[in-house]
Amino acid sequence: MQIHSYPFKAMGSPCELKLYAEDRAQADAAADRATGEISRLERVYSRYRPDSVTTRINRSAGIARGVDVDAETAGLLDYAASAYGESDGLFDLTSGVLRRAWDFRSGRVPDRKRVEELLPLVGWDKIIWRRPRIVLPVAGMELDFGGFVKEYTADCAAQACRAAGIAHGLVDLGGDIALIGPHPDGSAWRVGVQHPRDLANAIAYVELDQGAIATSGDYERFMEVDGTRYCHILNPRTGWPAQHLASVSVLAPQCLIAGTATTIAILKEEQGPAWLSELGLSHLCFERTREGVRQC
Amino acid sequence: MKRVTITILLALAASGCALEKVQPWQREYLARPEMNWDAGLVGEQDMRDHTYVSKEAATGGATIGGGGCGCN
Amino acid sequence: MQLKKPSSSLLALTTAALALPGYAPNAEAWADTESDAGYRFSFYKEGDISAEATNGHSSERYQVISNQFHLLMPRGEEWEYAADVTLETMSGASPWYIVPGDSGKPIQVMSGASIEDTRYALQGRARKFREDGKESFTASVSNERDYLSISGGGDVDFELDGKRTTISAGALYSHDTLNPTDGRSDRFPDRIDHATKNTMTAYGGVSEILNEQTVAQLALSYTFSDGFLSDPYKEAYVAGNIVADSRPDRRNQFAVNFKLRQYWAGWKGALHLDARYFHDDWGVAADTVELGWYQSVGDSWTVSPSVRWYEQGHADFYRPYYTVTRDDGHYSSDYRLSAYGALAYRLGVMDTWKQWSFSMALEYYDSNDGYTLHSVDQANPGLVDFAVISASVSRKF
Repeated sequence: MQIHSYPFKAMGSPCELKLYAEDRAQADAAADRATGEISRLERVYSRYRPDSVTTRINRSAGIARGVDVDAETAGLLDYAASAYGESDGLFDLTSGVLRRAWDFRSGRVPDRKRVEELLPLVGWDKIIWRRPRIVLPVAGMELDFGGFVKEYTADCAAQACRAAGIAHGLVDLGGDIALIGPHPDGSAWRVGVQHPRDLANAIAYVELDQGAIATSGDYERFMEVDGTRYCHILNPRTGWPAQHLASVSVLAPQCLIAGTATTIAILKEEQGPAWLSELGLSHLCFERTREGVRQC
Repeated sequence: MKRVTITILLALAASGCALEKVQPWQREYLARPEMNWDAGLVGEQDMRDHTYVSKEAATGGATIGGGGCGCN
Repeated sequence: MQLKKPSSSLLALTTAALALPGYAPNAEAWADTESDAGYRFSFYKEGDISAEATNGHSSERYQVISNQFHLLMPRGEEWEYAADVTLETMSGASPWYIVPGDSGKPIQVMSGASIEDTRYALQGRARKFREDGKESFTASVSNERDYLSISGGGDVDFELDGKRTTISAGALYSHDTLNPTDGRSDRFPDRIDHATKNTMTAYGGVSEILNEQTVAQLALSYTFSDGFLSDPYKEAYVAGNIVADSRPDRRNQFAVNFKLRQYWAGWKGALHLDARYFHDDWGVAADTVELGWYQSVGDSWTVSPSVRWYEQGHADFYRPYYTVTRDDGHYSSDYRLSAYGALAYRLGVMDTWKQWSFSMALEYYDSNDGYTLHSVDQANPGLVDFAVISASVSRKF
């Protein structure tokens, strides 16, 4: 059994499928199914496409009637509701609206007032979600699936490969990895975790023979102003970026859960690692120091 | 014949007095395929415009079509 | 991976996650139905020109058989690519020049030979969606034996005011090369054998959602052409001589376009109104009004009858034939620069079934100088009537 590699770009990151198959044809067929799933989810939850679920929901913001969603979107909203509850409100699908204040390419920290103006539009507790109907009561509110669709996609792509008969391999979407199965001899995959400051290198290696690993950090989208780093992981209660953890990696049976846990841990700042331990998932955390980073 | 255009604009202004604040959710009707600017399939409107431009003197619309041809 | 004792939080999350379709053990590949491919066939045929108009025999005119292929492919979160290929075969006779007959009645002389030509065209478009609009880039090529056109352009949309208003603008540049058949030949010594033409078009428009059933759009467009703008295969009778069709080498064209779409919920149908006022510096002014009704029938059918009225005035330098020469040397007896009106009637039918869509349409176009609002001195004997039948099929995949 040979390993076949399929590198490609999706969801704004370099991605790769590594599949073990009896022959090239089987691997190609599985790769097609997986990349098809990835394209589908990328389009359906795109913020830009006029025909995406995200656009449809966001355009309905402002009135009581709302819109009905399909089964998959309903499942994702149920999951988001559950994560909101388990994270004391830190995992919040409505926080995307804060993007309007934070433009990381500008190199300018927004006015406190500008951020405060947006806070009334943030808050999953303000959303009315009664399957299959979602209502965004205030015009200007929006849902952003970007915070967890990537990890869900990794899981779906892995499942698509399994359905195509692949038992050994992995799906890597820009560092969020879902395993299809260990190497054919049962040995674990050795996965590198990106160094949050020295991006070309790994800061650690993790051995995985099942499940998934997701990593998040303050190095994915950020700006540095007057020596302070402001990253894209924004706290929905304050509107300001997380300031303490540089990188968090979590291992879980599902990449979706691993990804959710990394986001919540980062937003819990100093309490992040303790929260992860209490949750019961293996993890790796690095906190910011004056000189760089240090393992927590 | 400016009369034609002006009449239409006046009719629009009259009905426009009912310019409500359209809530985006109310766009269900507007999303129906028969409400598209070009409601045909497979480039139907482009094909029709091409025919009219070849056979008439007038051109011009709200879109950029393809280039020209030697249509006689 | 050493899993520590899972907390109730983790169990809650896991339960919610596993309910998602992506984790179903026999997850079937979801139908990826965003790409679209289609084919359209169309048959265009002009009515014969009468024996009365030619003072002799009636003659067949033009016919075109057209095959169009369309492919639309979305890519990623923001992009969409489209390609269109057209293959057409054209054949038949065309008006050539007009001579004065008894009592000055204009007599159409047709090009005797029935030409046959094939045209290939390819158009590509890339479109990028933004949260507040989109932009597109297009490039196309059209080639036939005696005419090559290459063009490129782009357009951009901005959605404002809660997406109630959309502002759009676009521009297109086209460079055409003509190599008329039998140019500078013994038979046609006055016919050019090579020429070029450049065309620049720009437009700007605003569309607005007026209420929950109505949208309207107003657009202005301007086109500038220069180069060889005459018809190399046409001639004109000028005081006893037959000279080549010679139009000015520049043309400025303006158009104002208005569109309205209104849904009538009680009838389950949509009203379409399109109106255009056109004016150019050759003296042509034209009005167009088209009214259509798109009726929903059952779950998946749409029937759409429509009527289009068109009228145009004649170009300053146009005459069916000339009794004196012109100082500016411009001559054309092409019916397309004459004053006339036309009424076109169209009936279309569309149906969708699973990922397939089908449509068929029949159109009949009738020109007559009686359809204009103003009076016409002398109708061009070469006015054309035509019928088009077309059918298309497309599939999402």
